[in-house]
Amino acid sequence: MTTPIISVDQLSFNYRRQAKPAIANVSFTLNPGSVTAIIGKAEAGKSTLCALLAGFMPQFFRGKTNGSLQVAGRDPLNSSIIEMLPHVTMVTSQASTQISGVCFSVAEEVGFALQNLSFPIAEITQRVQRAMELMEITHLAERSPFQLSGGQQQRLVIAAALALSPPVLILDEPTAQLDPPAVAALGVTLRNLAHDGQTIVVAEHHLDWVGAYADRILLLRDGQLIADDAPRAILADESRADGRPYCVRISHYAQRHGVWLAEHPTAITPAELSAGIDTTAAVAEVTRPLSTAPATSTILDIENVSFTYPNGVAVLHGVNLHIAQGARIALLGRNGAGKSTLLRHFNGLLRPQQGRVKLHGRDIKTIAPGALAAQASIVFQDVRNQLFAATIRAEVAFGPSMLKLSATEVTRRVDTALAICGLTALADTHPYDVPVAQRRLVATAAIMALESDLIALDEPTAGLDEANITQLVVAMNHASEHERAVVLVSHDLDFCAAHTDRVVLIQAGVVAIDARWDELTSTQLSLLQHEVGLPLGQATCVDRALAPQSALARLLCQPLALR
Amino acid sequence: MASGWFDRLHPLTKFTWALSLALITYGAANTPITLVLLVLALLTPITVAQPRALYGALWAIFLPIGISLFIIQGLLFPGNASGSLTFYGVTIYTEALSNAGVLLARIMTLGSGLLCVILTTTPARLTQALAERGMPRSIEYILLMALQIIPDMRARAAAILEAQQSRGLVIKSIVSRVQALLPLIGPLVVGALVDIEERAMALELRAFAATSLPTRMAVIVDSRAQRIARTALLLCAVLIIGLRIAGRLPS
Repeated sequence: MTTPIISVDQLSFNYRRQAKPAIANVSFTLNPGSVTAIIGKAEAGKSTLCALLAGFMPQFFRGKTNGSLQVAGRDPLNSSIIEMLPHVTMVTSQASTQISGVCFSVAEEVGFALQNLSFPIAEITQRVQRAMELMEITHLAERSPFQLSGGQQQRLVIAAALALSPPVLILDEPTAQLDPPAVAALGVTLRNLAHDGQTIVVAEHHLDWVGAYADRILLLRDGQLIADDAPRAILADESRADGRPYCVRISHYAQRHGVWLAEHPTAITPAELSAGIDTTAAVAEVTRPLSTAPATSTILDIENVSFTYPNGVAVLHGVNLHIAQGARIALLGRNGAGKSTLLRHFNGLLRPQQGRVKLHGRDIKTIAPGALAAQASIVFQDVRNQLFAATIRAEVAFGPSMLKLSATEVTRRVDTALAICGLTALADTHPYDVPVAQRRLVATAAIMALESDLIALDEPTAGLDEANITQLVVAMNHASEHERAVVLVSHDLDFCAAHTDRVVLIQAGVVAIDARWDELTSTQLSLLQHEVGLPLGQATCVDRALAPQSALARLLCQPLALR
Repeated sequence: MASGWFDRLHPLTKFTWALSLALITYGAANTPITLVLLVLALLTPITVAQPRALYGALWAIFLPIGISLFIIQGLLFPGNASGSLTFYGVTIYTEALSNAGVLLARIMTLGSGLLCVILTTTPARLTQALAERGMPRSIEYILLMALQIIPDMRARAAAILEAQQSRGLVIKSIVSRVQALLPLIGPLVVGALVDIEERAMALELRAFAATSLPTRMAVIVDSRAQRIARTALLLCAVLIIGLRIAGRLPS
């Protein structure tokens, strides 16, 4: 019988000054060479459990602990992090703050822990090279860690943990900022590490990824271990999983529409989903309706826009894009393709060196960005750059008050924004006193209260659980009902396919695709797949060689909101 | 990367060179010595890998300083007596030009020595050299972090400004600038405070608290000749300052 590498027995943890325990009477054991996913809603206790396993308590988080814990034969509760480090290491969810700050290059950062642990130079060099190759950051080796994008920083901090090669590796939301190809590559890497004997523990919201790569799932709810089982037993059972993977949703959808092979169980991986589709079944013709009525007028015109940064890096090359009232657009592209640069042209944060940007037909080149907030606004990815007020209500009221509206109108807008983002009950709470996931909704509410004609959301689902994503959809739908255009920049392709009508792919600074999701040609689908991957419905169609305009393809590519 | 003779010197040797130039120049307060040191300081960039960049930096820094010195001294130097040039009724005095020349020579000697060190030594090499001489790791961290945090804070400040402008913040008048302080400074301070805690965790996870001697990826070569040179430079500085204090060195 294999000896468990992690043993948790009746473990409870209460943060200081918190009434409820974050972890309550949790017991489980993990064998070496496995990938275990910890899933659950926001605040279920996932990060706390990870921190306990890594030995962060009591060194960094004070509180009361009960029960016992053994990791690689040591007790993390009575060991310092430095004592635990050769046996367990952890990558926390915010990549940017895990950069040591003392290394001047990516390669140095990856090898920093090995240097501190006095490894020989030859071994450090070899491990750093291997870790950078695994996370595909070798080409960034000489760059400053602070000059990397969010996704690149996430790859860096994971590489730094991989370089240590500990028997137990804990990752808290490792996929949050990675693009789809990198997410898949990470899954394969972790499986290979497990195959070589390492024990991997991953806290994750991305259930499709969990279904594809985990051996086992621990489901937490309110700090308690609700289920400890194989992925299929939990993810395919709607009564057990707190959230459903897109694979499961599409399987159920296919079952309801009679295009699922009866002998196939509900799919929890893309491969199972593809295999389960009955391509011979008769399908009634379906037309994907638009989220809103056809547009009546254009809000934004990007005309032949080119932009080069002062350091000489040319990012946009003659981009043309037109966004109409009520449009819902997914703006996709690889890291560095120019999405964020283009987004900053929407409200004048960046000025094109060539071409024009027009809002409601008016060239905005001489208008201050702040003065355009009523027409176009952006929720940025890092919400910490936005929040400053003492209460959520005050935070949300800041934007409308900048627009010089009457007090009554400000109050109306704030109340509406709080309601559609599910924050009314928390209005008097400090923004930093709500969970991280809800802070993103606070930032979203603050932008929604501006009631801009065009609202852009940069990675809006990162780190959100299904309940918070549902609330985000409510806010987006409210904007659409008022004919506001919504632009999503996201790596969450299934969310984009479900909640937008149109896809715009930016490839090397040009618009490579600008089409409705259901009008994508085979060539466009191939390009999209190559650049950023495909949503599951489209991926299944490509995998099963279904013609994009066939009735079955149209059915599978219906937006999830309608399924 | 290309490397010149001066670039390859041990950081402490370079630093001692710049320090000695400064100590002797200001300690001696002797014009001939100052001029000799200025020549030496200006010849140093020839020995670096990229002398043009260094001379470019020297020119960009000292040209405006020189012009300002000559104008201010020419007009305001208290010892002005013998006028030499008159433009549109404004007289420039010989004493002032002479004094401005000496001042500029001293500043240039000090500045070019420091520039040679700064532009040929990475902060990592400098702190590693100091750590190898017994500087505590906590000081090493503070020095490196201080150097790194500036571009990071600047990028974050720009991101905060963008985020608040997207919410309607317009900065035009003095009143609007005052109003903008909280939404701009608030996230910067809160972000920095949150970062401190998380950065502490990151350092723990990178084994910064390890008590063993860390492996250094870069080897900083020192030599007996450099150690002798450092000692000689410092002794020379002490000697000249001593002579000056004893009144054996004329101005």
